[in-house]
Amino acid sequence: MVFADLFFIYVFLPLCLLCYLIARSLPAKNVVLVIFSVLFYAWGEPLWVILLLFSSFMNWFMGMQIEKRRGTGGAKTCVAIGVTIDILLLVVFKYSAFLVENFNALTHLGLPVPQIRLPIGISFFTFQAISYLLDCYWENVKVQKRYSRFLLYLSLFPQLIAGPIVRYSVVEEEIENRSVTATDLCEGALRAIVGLAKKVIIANNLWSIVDTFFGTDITGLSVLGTWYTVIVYSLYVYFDFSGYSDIAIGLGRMFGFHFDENFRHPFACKTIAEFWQRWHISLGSFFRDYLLYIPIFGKNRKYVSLFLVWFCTGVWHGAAWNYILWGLYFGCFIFFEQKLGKKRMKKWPVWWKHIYSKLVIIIGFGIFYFEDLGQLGQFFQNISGVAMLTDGAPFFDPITWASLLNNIFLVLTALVVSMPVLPKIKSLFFDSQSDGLYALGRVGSAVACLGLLAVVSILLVDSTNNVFLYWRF
Amino acid sequence: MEGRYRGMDYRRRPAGEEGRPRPQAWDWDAYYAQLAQEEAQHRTAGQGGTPEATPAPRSYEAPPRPAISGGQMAYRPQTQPTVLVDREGSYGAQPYEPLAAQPRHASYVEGAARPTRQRVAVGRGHEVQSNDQALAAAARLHAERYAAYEEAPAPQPEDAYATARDPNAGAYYPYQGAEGGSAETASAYEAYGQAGYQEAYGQAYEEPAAQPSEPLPEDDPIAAWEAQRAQEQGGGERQSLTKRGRLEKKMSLIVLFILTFTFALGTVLMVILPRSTVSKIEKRELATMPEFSLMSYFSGEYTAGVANFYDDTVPLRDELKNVGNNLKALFGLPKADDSVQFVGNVQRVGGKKDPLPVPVSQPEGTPVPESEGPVSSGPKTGEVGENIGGGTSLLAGAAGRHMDTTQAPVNNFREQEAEGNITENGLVVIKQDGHFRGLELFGGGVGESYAEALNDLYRQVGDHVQIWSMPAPLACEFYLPSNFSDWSVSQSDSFDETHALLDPGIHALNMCETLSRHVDEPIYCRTDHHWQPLGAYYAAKLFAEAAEVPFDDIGTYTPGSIEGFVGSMYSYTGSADILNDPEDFVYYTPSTPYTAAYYNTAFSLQWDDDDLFAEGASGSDAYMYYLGGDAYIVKTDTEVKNGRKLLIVKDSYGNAIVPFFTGSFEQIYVADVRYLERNLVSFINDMGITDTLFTMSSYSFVGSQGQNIANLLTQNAGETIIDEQLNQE
Repeated sequence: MVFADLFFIYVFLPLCLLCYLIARSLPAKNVVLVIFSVLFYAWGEPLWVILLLFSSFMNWFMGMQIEKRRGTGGAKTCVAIGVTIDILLLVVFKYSAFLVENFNALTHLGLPVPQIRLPIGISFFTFQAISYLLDCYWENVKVQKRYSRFLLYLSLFPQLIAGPIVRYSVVEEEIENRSVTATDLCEGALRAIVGLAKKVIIANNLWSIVDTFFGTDITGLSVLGTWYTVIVYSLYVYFDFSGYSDIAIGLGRMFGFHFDENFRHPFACKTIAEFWQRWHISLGSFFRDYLLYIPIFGKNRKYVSLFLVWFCTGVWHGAAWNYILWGLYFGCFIFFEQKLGKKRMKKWPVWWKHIYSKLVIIIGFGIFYFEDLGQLGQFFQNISGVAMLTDGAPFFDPITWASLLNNIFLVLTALVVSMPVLPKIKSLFFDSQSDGLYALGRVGSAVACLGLLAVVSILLVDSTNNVFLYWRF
Repeated sequence: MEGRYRGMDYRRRPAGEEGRPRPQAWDWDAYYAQLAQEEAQHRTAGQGGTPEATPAPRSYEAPPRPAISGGQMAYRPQTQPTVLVDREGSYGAQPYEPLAAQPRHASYVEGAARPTRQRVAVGRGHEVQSNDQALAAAARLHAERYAAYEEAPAPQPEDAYATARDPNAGAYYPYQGAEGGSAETASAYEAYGQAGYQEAYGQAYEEPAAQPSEPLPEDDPIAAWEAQRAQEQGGGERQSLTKRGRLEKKMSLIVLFILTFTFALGTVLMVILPRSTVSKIEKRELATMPEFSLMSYFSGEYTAGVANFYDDTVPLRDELKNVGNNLKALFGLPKADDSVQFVGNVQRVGGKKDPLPVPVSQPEGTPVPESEGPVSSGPKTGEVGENIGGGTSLLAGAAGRHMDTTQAPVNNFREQEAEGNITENGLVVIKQDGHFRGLELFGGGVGESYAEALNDLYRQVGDHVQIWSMPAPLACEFYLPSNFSDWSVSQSDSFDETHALLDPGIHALNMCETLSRHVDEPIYCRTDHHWQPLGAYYAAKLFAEAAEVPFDDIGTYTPGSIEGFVGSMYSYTGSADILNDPEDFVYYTPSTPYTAAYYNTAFSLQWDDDDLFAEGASGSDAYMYYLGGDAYIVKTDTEVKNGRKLLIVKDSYGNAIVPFFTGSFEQIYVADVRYLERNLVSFINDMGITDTLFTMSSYSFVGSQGQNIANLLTQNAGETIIDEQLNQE
C-alpha cells in the first residue's frame, strides 16, 4: 500500500485511527498499531510479510542475546551474526541479480540470473534493524525485551516502506510511554497533508515533464532541454521523497511518535557537504554513525572510509552501476571540499557557492536517473553541448519552451517551496506575539491544508503515475 | 534533535583532556561521575531483574562510543575513544550541527520522562549557577520553549556555517556552541582533538570564554521569541506565557475539530455515495471487487485488486477527473494561439542523419493473437457495456479505443494499466484558430509485415480478386505545426515505402495528397483520434474512382451531427483545454436504400434488417455511431447491381468509410482486422468477394496489424464459411 492512494487515505487510515482511539491503554494502542502495520505491509507483500516478521524476530532475539552475553566475547559474536544476516537478506533480495549479472559479464559463466522481486521497504527496515543491533551493542539503547514492542518499532507503518530510517533510540521511550495531545494530532495531520500535496500535486506532475523528455531515447534532445529536464527531475526527486518523509513524520506524530526530520530544504545548501546534511538525513547519519567510524582501513581510513561510505550510499539507492557512480561522484566532491578546506571555501562568494553546489547536485541527479549507461553517456553529451557536434542536437528546441510555458507555475511553485520559504511564513504567524495572528495562523493553515487535501483527493482519482519513486528501495 | 546523535555526541568535549579549563557553568567531572554511577546502578539492576524495575534514570546522553576494537564493553566515559575518524571526512565541517539544533518535540515536557537529557541539554546551552538551579530553570525553560515550538519553525539557517559561527548560537541553539564559544572551533576541536585542531587551524585550541548572550538579531523571529521567553522566565511574567499556552490548546482543539469533521465527512461520503461503475471518459467498465482465493492473495493480486476497486470506482469518478484536469490546466500560462502541449514522452525523429528505424516486428505491449485457431471469444479489448450510450443498438466495441496497435518506434503506447489509466505517449495538444486539437505523433516505420501479409494473400486468392491497400493517415500529417515537424515522421512517405514492397498486382492508394487539399474542412476530429466522416468521404471517393465504381456525391447524403463531442484525445491527454472545447461530430446517412446484417466475430448472425448506424452514441462515443464499434462483422446489401462485392478489412478508421460505398458496391462486408475469427482466404472465396480493401490507420499499418493479417490467412485454413443470413432466407 502506498500513502498517496485513496484507499489508504479514506479507508485504511480512518479505520486505524478509529481503532487507535478506541483502544484505551497504551499496550492496547500498541497492539492496534502492530496489527495495522503488519496489515499495511501484508497488503503490498502478502508473502514477504514473512520476511519482515523473520527479520524483526531475528534482530530482537540477537538483541536479547547481546544483552545476555554483555561483557563477554559472545556479545560481539551475536552482533556480528545479526548484522551479517541482515546484510545477507538485503544482498539476496536486492542485489543478487545485479551481482550475478556482473559476475557473468566478467567470467562468461552464464549463471542463471535470479529473478527475485524486491520486497517493499527492505532497505529501510533492514537498516533500522542494523542500527538497533549496533546501538544495543554499544549500549546506546536499552535492549527491548518484548518482541511485540520491537516488532512495533520495525514495522511501524508510517515509516515502514520508504523511511525515514528511524533509529530505535528515537522511538524507544515513546513505544513504552507516549501521549497524544490535540496539538500532536492536528500538527501531525497537517504535516501529512502537506506531504501528500508535495507528492501528488507537485511531484507527480513534475514527473510528467520528466517523462516527456527523458521517457524515451534522449538522443536529439537539445542542450537546454536536457538542462531543463534534469532540473525538473531534481525537484521531482526532492518533492517525491521529502513528501513521503513528511507523510511519515506527520502520521507518526498523529500516533504520538516523534521522528526526526529527514529533509531540511537541501537545495538551499551552499556546499555538497551541507547538501548531505540536509538531504535524506537519516541515511547520511546512518552511514556516518555506523560505517564511517568503523576502523576497517587503519591509517588510510580517513579517505578509504570516506569512499566506502559513498560507495555504500550509492549502492543503497539501487542495484545498478549508475547509483554506484552517483555515490562516488558525491564522494569525490566531499573529498574535494575537504581537501580544499573550509577556510578557502569560506572565501568563495555566496553566489558562486550556490552555483557550484547546484551544478553538482543537478548533474548528480542526471546520473541518478539514467540506469542505462549508454543513455547516461548521451546525457553527458547533451548537457555539455558535445551532442551539438556529434549528433547535431540543437541548442534549444520549441518543445522545451512549450513545456516550460505549460508548467511555469508548477515549476516556480516547486522552486519556491524547495527553498525555506514556507517555514518563514509559518513562523510569522505561529511565533507572532499577537494572539490574533497566532489564531489566524492556526486556523488558516488548517483550512489551507484541507484545501490541499481536496485537491490531492481529486488528483488521485486519476491516479496515473502514482507509484512512489522510493518504492523500489 | 539530539535524539539522532544520542550515543555519538561529538559535541561533547572529549573527556580526559587534563589541564584544559572546564567551563565554570557546569561541573563536567561531577556530571560524568554521576552518569557512570547511574549506569553502574542500572547495570547491576539489569543483571538481577528487568530493567523496568530499575528506578534509576538512564542517561541517553550517552558517552562517547567506546572503540569497537576495544573489546572492553564497560562504560568508559572518561576514555577518549581510540577511533574517531574525522567526521568532516564524509560530511563536512559541522556534521549535522544545524540539524542538531533543531528543537526536539514536546514529549519531553509532557512525558517528563527524560530528566537527564533536559539537564544536559539546557545546562550546556545556558549559563546557570548551580546544578540544582540549572535543573529547575532548565526544565522550565525547556518545557516552555518546546511546548510552544512544537514542530513549527525549525530554525532554518540560511547558511549553516554562518549560524554555527554565530557567537549567539549558544543561546539560539541550546545544544550547540556549548559553552557560548564558537561552535565551529569547538566542533573542530572535538573532531580532531588537540593535535588535529592545531594542524587544521595552525594554532592551539583555546577554550572560548563564556560570554553572555548578546542581544539577538531583530530580524530573526525565532531568536527574538526565544529572547522574549527567556526574559519572561527571568522577569516572572508567567501570565502571558500561560495565556499563549491556553490559546494554543484552544486553537488545537478547534483545528482538530475542523479536521476531524471534514475528514470524517469525506470518508463517510466515499462510503455512502453510489460508486461509479463505468467511465465514459476512459470508455471502460470500472474495476470490480476481486474474488478471493489463496492464490490471488499470495500473489498480491487480491489486495491490489481491492484497493484498485476502491480507487477505480470513486463516486463521481468522471466528474472528479474533469475537475482534476481543469486544476492541472492552472499549472501553466493560458494557452495562446499556436501554443503546443506535449503529453507522454516525445522524441525528435526528424532531422537526423540516420534513416528511419524500421519498426520492430513484435513490439512490446502489443497483443497479438495466437497463431493457432480462432481467438477464443469476442474482442480482445473493448469491454464497454452493451448499453453504454443509453441506446439499445449501441454495440460493444472498441471504436473509441485506441487502435490497439501502434508500436511505431516512438509511439510505444503502454498497455492500459490495471486501473485503466490511459498512459499514452507522443501526444500533442495544439491551439489553432482558437480551437484545441489533440494529435498523435507518428514515429515512422515501414509496414513490412503488412506488405508481406498482403503479398501472401494475393498469392492465395489470385487475380480474380482485386486487393487494395489504402492506409489512413493520422491527423498529425496535416495539422502539426511545421516547427514541430522534427517530432513526427511523414506518413505519406511511410505509406509509399511500404507500398513499394507490395506485389505490383496489389493496388495501392495514398490518400494523403487528396486529404491535404481539404485541411481547411473538418476532415479530422479535434478531440478524437479518428477522422471525421468528411475525411472518410474524400478517401472513399479516391477509392471509388480507382476501383471504377459509381460513387454518390456527398450532397445526396443527409447530414446530421452529434454535438458536444469530446473524444478519446481528452482521455489520452487529460487536457482540460480539449475537454472544454467540444466539437460537432458530423455524420452522413445514405439516401439510397440498403440493409445491414450484424454478425459476431465468428461470423454467426446476430441480427439483420438494420442500418449502419448506432443510435444513442453521444458525448465521448460519437465515433461509435458508425457500426456501433468494431466488434461485429457487418454485411450491407445495396441496390447497386454491378456484381462487385467489397470486403473491407479495417481498424476503426474504416468504420466511417462504409456508408459512402452504399451507392458503389452490390454487397459490402466489413471485418475488423483485430477481431475476425475466420480464415480470410476462405471468407473471400466463399462470399464471392471481388474487391478486398485494406484500410487502416498509420499505426496499424506500420505496426503489428501486419502480423494480424498474416494470422487471418493461417487461422482455420481451408474452412468453408457459410453466411447464415442466406441460409435463413
